Amino acid sequence: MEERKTKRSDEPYDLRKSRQVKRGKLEQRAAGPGQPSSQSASLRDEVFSLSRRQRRLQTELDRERSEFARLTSRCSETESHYAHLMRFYVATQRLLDAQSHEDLFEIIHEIVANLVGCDEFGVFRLDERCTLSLVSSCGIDKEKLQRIPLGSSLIGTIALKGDPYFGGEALPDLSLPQESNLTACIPLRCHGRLFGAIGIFRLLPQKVALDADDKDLLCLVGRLAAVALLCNSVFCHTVAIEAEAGSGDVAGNSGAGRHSDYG
Amino acid sequence: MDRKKVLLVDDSSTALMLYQMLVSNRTPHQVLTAKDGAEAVEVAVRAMPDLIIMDVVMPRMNGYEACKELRSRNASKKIPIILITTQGQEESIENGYKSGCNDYLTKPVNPAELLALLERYIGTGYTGHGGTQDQKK
Repeated sequence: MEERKTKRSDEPYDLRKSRQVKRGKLEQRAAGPGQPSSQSASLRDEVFSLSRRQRRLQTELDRERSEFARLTSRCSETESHYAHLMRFYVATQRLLDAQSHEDLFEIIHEIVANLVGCDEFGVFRLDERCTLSLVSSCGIDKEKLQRIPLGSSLIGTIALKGDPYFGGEALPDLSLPQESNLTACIPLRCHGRLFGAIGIFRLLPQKVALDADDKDLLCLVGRLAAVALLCNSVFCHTVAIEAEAGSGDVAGNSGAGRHSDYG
Repeated sequence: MDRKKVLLVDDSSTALMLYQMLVSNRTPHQVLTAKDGAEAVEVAVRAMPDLIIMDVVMPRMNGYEACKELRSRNASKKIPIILITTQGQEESIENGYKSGCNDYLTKPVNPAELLALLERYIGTGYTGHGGTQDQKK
C-alpha cells in the first residue's frame, strides 16, 4: 500500500489532475445533480491559488522584461560611448604620431574622411602672409579654394574668430559661391594662435548629419592638431638652434633629423 | 572560442588602426593587416585568414580587383570577404557582390555593425548583452 502511494506521488502532474477530475465526477454522480462534492471544492481552491500564482508570475515577468529592455538600452548606449571613445583614442594617437607638418595634414585628412565620414572637405594651413592655403582636399574644386585671406569669406571669418562652426548659426553673408554648402568649419587653434582650418562641404551620402559625437571629435582634432603643429614647429626650431650652436642632437637620438619641417 | 585570423586591408593607417583596435579588443581573433589590394592577396594566400575585411578605394589594386583575384585562386576562393565602401549606393554595392564579396559595410564604419558581421562569419565570443559566451559558460 505504502509502495502504491509512493508510486502515485511520482506520477506526472497532468495524470494526477485527470485522476482527481475523474474522481470528482464520480463523487458528483454519487452525490446527485446540483450537489458540490468535496473534490470539486478542493479543485476550485486549487484553481484559485493557481491563478493567483499566475498573476504573481506575470507581474514578475513584466518586471524582468522591463529590466531587460532597460539593460539592453544601457548596453547599446555603452556600445555607442565605447565607439566614440575609440574614435577619440585613434584620432589622438594618430595626431601625436605625426612626424612632420605634411604627415599631420594627411592624418587630419584621414580622420575627417574615415572617422567622421565626410565626402567633400579641405584642410587649410595658415601661411606667413596670413592666408589660409589648401594643403589637402577631397571632392572639392582645388583651384577655387586654393587661397583664402584670413578674415575674408566664410572660412576666413570663422578661422579668424576661432570658434568651430557647425552650420545653422547666423553668420554675416560673406560666403563665396564655392562656400555655399559649407557644413562645418573648424579652426586649428591653440593658446590663441591659429594654425589653419578644416572646411567640410558635404558628408558621405549615407550620413545624414554631424551628430554630437562627430562635433566633439572635430573640436578635439582642431585643438590637438594645432598643439601637434605647434610642438612640431618648436621642436624643429630647437633642432635648428642647436645645430647652429653646434651642440648636435637636441633630442638625444639620431631620428631627430627627420623633423625638418618648419611651421 | 577558436582564435581565428582576420585580415584587415586599408591604405589609411587611421582606419586600419580603428578596425585593428576593434577586432583585437572585442574578439579573441588574431589580426593581420595589408595596405592595398595586391598586398592583401599576397598575405591571404600565405596566411589563409578566416575572414577578410577590405576597403574598396586603395592604390595599386582596389578592393574589387583584389576580391576578384582572391576568388580566382583555389586557395583563397572560399574565404569570406567584407568590403568597406565609401558610398552606400546600389551600384557600388552591386559591384562589390559582382566581384565576389560576401557582405559590405559603409564608411564611417559603425563598430556594432562590424562586430555583427564578425559574429556572423567567424564568431566573436561576444553576445552583445553583457559578457562573453565563454564567461557565461
